Amino acid sequence: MERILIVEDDVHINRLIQQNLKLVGYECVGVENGKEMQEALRENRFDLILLDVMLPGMSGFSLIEHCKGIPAIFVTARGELDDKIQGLSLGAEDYIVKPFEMLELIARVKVVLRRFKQSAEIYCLGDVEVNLDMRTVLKNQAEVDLTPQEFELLSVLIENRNIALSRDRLLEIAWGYDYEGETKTVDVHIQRLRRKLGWEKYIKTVMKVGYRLEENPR
Amino acid sequence: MKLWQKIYLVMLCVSILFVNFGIYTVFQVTYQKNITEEQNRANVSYHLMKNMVLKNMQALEQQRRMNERTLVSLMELFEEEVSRQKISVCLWENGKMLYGSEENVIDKIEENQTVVRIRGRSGEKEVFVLGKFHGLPEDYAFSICYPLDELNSMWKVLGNIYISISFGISLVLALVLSIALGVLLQPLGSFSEQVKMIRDGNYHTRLLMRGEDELSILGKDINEMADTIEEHVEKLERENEKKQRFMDDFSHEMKSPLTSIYGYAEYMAKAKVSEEERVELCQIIMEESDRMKKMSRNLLALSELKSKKPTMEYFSVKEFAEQLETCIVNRKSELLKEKRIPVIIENGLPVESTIYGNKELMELLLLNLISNGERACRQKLEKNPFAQIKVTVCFLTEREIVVSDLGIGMEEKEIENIRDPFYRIDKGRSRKDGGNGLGLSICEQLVQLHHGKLEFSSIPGEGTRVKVIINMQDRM
Repeated sequence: MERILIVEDDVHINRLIQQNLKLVGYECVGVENGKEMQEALRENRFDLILLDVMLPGMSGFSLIEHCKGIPAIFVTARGELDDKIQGLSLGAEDYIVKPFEMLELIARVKVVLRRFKQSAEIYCLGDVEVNLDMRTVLKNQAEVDLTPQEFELLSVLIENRNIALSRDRLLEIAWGYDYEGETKTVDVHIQRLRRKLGWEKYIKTVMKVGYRLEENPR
Repeated sequence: MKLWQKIYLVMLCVSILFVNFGIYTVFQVTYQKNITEEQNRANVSYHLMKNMVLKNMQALEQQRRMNERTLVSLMELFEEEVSRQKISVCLWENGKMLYGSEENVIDKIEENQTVVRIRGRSGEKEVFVLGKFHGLPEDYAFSICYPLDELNSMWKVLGNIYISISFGISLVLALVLSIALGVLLQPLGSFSEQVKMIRDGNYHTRLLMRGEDELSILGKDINEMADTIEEHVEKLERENEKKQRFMDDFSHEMKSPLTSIYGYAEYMAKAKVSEEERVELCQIIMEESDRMKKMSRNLLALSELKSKKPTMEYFSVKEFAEQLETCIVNRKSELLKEKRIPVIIENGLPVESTIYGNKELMELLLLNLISNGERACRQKLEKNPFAQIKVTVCFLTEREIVVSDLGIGMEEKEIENIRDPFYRIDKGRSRKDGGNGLGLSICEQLVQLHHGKLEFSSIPGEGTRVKVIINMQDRM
């Protein structure tokens, strides 16, 4: 499981980021300033650092030198092009501007982590094992036959697990931006996934929102 | 055509004209004088010759040999006599020419008169003298004529001298003028360079100007203009920077609570949350909304204070100090979890002292300054938990109040900026110390409403002293 260090002095935002990332299965540690960040880096191994720019004492732009090869993403309210360029040229992997959407944050974190990942990503839930790189699905060690579109939908659900995704958003991510299908298409595919994987209890219908893959359904 | 070329041409033409005119006049006067002399001389020679001829004619008359032939031979003899001087003679009898080659001149002569005339072109002048004989039975007229060699050669010499002097002086004039103009108008070139530089946005160079003439004054004026432009441009840049900083800070201040509000609301909408968690998250959303509410209220207050005119009255210092103390104690009880910072109010003024101003606004001003002091003390405590800290409010006079703290202090250069909205010395500090960066901007507006000012002095690590001075123009 990937470990992410969050350096953000606003406790509420710090907690918000932690909660969002924990939902999709990352382990998070939150610190409030550069000194604490360096302590945390000494004590633990991290796969990614989310770094605020406006920090007390030392700014995030100067702290990035201490990241020691760990990929870093700036999370900041300063959205001007100059700031972005400065941030990226200092060696940051990405630049997220506040206020951000949950899915954006997760997607950007995922992209950076995938770029630095060594081992293949395998996701297990119940008796189902999904290999996201090989694009194979095993249920009780037996291969399940999924269409490419079904697998795409499944991987989107897994990547954004525990988060409710609207039908429109699912269409947008899993089918592509220019796909002009109906939201009914999503319902049909979700039904098929539930049946093929036996995930009736895991893939929840969320009232007025859409669908959510829940790891710990009650 | 360039200015210096125009001036040069005009001045050169005028001066050459005048110089030539002068030289010409001098030469003309000399020449005329010579001509007059020649005339006198001719007159004298004429009379000598006339008398000689007259005596001969009188002798002929006595010998009764006077006739046309004898007269002609007399003239021939006489002419031969003076031929060395190139003199030619003529003789008329009763208006009829007896000898010589002059035509049509005899009728111009009056009785008893001698006509002396200089004739011919310049350089080929000759003198002609004509007169009548008296004491002879018939009417005789006699004339002599000879070229003025001396005068003619002088004319040629004068002409040569005139041309060479005129040419020489013109040449010298042309040279001197061009040098003088070049030197005198040299600043114009540098002015134009300077103005071009200003046009291109380079306001830093200055002209080197000496002297008091119009060009130097113009140069100095250009320098002053550059000074003013530079000053204005810098001021505008500073203003712009300030505005930019305000916008940056404002967007940062707005985005932090917005991020939390949006983020937690989104989280609650999309993730599965337990009941306790839901309450907790709603609490955060409410807190952040409150923070935004406070900020917008402060911003509104700030813009209102800029336009509002509060009611002013005299109020007792003693009562005001007591009220302030109560206010501080009450406020303290709200923030029990925060460590207490001692606030001391010193009022050494006589009981009957009054302050002229708006009581509520003065209270707001002092409370703002006190909470700034407390914040500075708290920051000092973070670094050193055993530091000696306190905030003192001291009523010095009816127009001066000092709020001082033993807090963290600040650098001299920060004082200039701390009154700007959203300005923070430590960019990262925000919610933890409370406040949203608008306090001092509001204070500044408040003292301005009271016709006063804030004076800051601070030593990093030792504390800050704010002197509030009000009603400056009324009673000073």
